[in-house]
Amino acid sequence: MGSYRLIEHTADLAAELRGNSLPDLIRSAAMAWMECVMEDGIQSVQGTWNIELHEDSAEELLVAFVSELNYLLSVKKWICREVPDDFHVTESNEGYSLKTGLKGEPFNPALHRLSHEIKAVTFHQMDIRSEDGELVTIIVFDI
Amino acid sequence: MKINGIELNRIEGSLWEIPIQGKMRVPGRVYISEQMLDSLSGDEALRQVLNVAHLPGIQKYSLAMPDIHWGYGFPIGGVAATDVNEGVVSPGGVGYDINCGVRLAATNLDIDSAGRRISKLIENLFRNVPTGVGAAGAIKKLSEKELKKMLRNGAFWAVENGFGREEDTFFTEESGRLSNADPDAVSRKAIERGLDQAGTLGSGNHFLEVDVVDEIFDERIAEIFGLHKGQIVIQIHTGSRGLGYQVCDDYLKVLLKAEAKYGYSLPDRQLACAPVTSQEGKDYLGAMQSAANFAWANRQVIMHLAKKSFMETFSMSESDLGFQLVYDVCHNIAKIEEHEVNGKRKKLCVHRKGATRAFSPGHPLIPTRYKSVGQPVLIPGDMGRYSFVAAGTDKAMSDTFGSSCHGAGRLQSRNQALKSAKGRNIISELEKRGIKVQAKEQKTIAEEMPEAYKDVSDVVDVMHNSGITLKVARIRPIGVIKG
Repeated sequence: MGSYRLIEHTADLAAELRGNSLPDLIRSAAMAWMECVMEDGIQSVQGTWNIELHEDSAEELLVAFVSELNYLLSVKKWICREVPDDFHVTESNEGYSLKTGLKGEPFNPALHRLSHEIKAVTFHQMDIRSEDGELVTIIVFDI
Repeated sequence: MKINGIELNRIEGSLWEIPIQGKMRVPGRVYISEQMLDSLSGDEALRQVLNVAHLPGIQKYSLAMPDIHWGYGFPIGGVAATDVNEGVVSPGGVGYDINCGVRLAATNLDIDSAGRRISKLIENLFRNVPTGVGAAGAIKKLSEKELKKMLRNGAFWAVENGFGREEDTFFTEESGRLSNADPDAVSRKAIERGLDQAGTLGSGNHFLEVDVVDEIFDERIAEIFGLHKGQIVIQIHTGSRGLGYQVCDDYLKVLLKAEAKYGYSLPDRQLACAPVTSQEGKDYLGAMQSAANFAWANRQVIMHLAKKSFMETFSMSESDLGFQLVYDVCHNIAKIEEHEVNGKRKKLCVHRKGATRAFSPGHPLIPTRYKSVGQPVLIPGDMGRYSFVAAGTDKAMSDTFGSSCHGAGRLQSRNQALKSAKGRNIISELEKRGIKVQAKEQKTIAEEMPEAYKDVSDVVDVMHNSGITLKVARIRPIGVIKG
């Protein structure tokens, strides 16, 4: 299981992410993103959005994944509420790939309140490293 | 002295230098008062000034203005000019919100006659100008073809579509249009993010503010800028919205790969860059200029919506209202400009990341009306205190590539601000100070409350006392709308 905690950042929002594996870390990042973006407690899971990503490094995959959540909300007006427990990241000479179905619902301004607009998911202070058997990194959202 | 292990030597007054060390190509230079030096020890902004000095083709200095703070790759408040033939362009030197900027418009109204209708004005502005997260709808969702026209034509697109007058473009940096914009270099995702966001203010530190001119420091320049004490003016602070953020995101990836291709080894990957003349560099500049044009169209549309709100509130015609754009400046951009380096004119790519262009009197790129006094420099503060209008100088041209500061900078994190605001009614506190505030989210008001920001006058004074920009007027808020 992954976890996250929001940490102080003067201008923007940041979180420390932890996970036993890269998928765990990615789920932690998604949870941190949800807390930063959503204000409301009204949640439901009404559909699935399939995504497929391929990046050169683990850090780039993490940033691309959370950027995708941001894009889905901003353009497709769709909120990710859950990232499945059973997705895998494939590592090869070509890089890192993932394929999964996100669970969520269409954004409805009458029901949902957003708290922050994340301009971008940055590489700032991002450095995925092992610490006491866990993967750890910081993620900073530009507000 | 050393701050966070970085050597910093005073050159004169509020100008400090980081001497060349390691693979730095030029020294770093920081404008900051002795009293503000403490603020540098809390983060890695000074390290970022040093890192930027490693960029290939950088000229003279890696500069930081007094509103310096920790950014991504470049510090906020950073200025770096690279040789267009031998140097690089870096998206980190522009930032995510491409052409985030400020415009200031003046009116014929003054506080004595108009003050009692400010509440109504703020209500109308809040209704007419889309604000907040995911705001859309000031103008109908554009087709891709129409959006690309906007990306080519910037503020002119807005004027051609009925949002303002051609004269407005005379008082906009670059006339509100960078001519080498290449909408085909903008990704599909970025286009999608822009389709319904033209004419929206956004959230975070973006705002539309009604101000009153409360102090004039230079009567002659103020008169030429069309400003006088007691006058009602407005400021609009926003940028290129999701389209610009996506352009930056897309090209950071492209240029990360380019860095390896061109054999650069830089101390921070967020300094990802490519030669200005390379295909990657040209593509980024074409996309970045498209986003900059989007931002100018955005501010032009919002100003028009604000003008309509004034006319509605005060039942005045456009000519009686005398709504006049004073100037529009961008503070997140890379521009190809000519500057003097070691006695020779050179074409440079000037990155301003949280820094404002501040061209001198007589410069060919400033409006005829301001030729004798220099370009207006707009420096917003926080929503409880004041903002400043200044003017560019010859010293800015010789020492900072015609650049100055851009704002106050945050003092507290958003979380600290929320804690400070707990149990308080910030809207009511501001109302008691004569400032009517309306926002989509109360949380935004708490996060953006005045004490969350540094005192912008400290920043402006460093630039004034260093002779980089001259203080012209101070304006204080009487009404604010935010996301």
